[in-house]
Amino acid sequence: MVTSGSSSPPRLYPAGGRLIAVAGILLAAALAGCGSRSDKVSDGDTAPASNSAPSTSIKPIASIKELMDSTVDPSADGLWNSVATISSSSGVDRHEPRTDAEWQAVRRHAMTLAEAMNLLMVEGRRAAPPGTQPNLGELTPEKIDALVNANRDEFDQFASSVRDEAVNALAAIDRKDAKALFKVGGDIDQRCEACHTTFWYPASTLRPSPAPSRGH
Amino acid sequence: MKTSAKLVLALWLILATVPPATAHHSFAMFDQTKQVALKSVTVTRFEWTNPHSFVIVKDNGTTYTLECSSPNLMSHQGWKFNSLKTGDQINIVFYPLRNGKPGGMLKTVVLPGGATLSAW
Repeated sequence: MVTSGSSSPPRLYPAGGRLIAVAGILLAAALAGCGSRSDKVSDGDTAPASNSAPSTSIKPIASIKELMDSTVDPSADGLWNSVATISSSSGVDRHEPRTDAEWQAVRRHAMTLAEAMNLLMVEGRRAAPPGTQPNLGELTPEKIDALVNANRDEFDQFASSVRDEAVNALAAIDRKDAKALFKVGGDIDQRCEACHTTFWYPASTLRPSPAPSRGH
Repeated sequence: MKTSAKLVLALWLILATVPPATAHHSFAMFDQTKQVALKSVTVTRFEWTNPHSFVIVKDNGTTYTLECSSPNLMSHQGWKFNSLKTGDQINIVFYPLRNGKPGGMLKTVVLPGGATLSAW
């Protein structure tokens, strides 16, 4: 976490060392898959050419839900939490990366997020593990799968738009421009939300409400 | 009190009163068929942060955690990082949580100076 010694509350995401390892694995996987978008994951019907020969095609292991939990959320949170203003009884804490090490820590988050979006676009990745119950307001994983498969180009456009914003975050980080990083953080949120409201909870959006009443 | 016990207590207090970093969620957790209006509540914390800002207020001993939109979108509504400060007395309207816990999605706030800001 990047707080510049601030007193902001602890956030719950993997420590830097673990994240670096995850980022390295993801980066290697993404680079290995460059240009192999047409590769199909083995469906088990075709015997491998050799029992000892390793498969070189992209094979999604995690569901989208698991990829979000393990990689996307921690990296996005790391990026979002890096710049904030917290007003509390302790005073006003405006925290942002200041040292080279702090900027590097945020850069790792942005890089991980960008490459995680490439992984999201690997076909054959299911919405969630079998048997997963949807969260409140969400479609079932089976319906999400069907919706994504029927609108693959749109799904990929959402993922690539988040990736491109993560690249913009990298540029802001390299300029050590905390204000721009904060702005890009909001842009990333909007693009994430657009995908979620399209594929995960299309029926759960903001809508007008009746007049207020006192109490619950 | 031993140091370790103090640390546990301090962490509990932080986790009990501060909204955790959350992933995105649907709006179904908020009951948008209802609005709750509270007058002269006291601001105890204002988090101007992505992906969503939070306003924490106290009213008659109850602490309400209120989720807002992102700072980018809130800025378009006139919000700034210092629009609220601890101790401010404000009027609020929010969509309550369906689970009955004190909190929800902040709709509007009337600042001490009388200006009204929309949080979404």
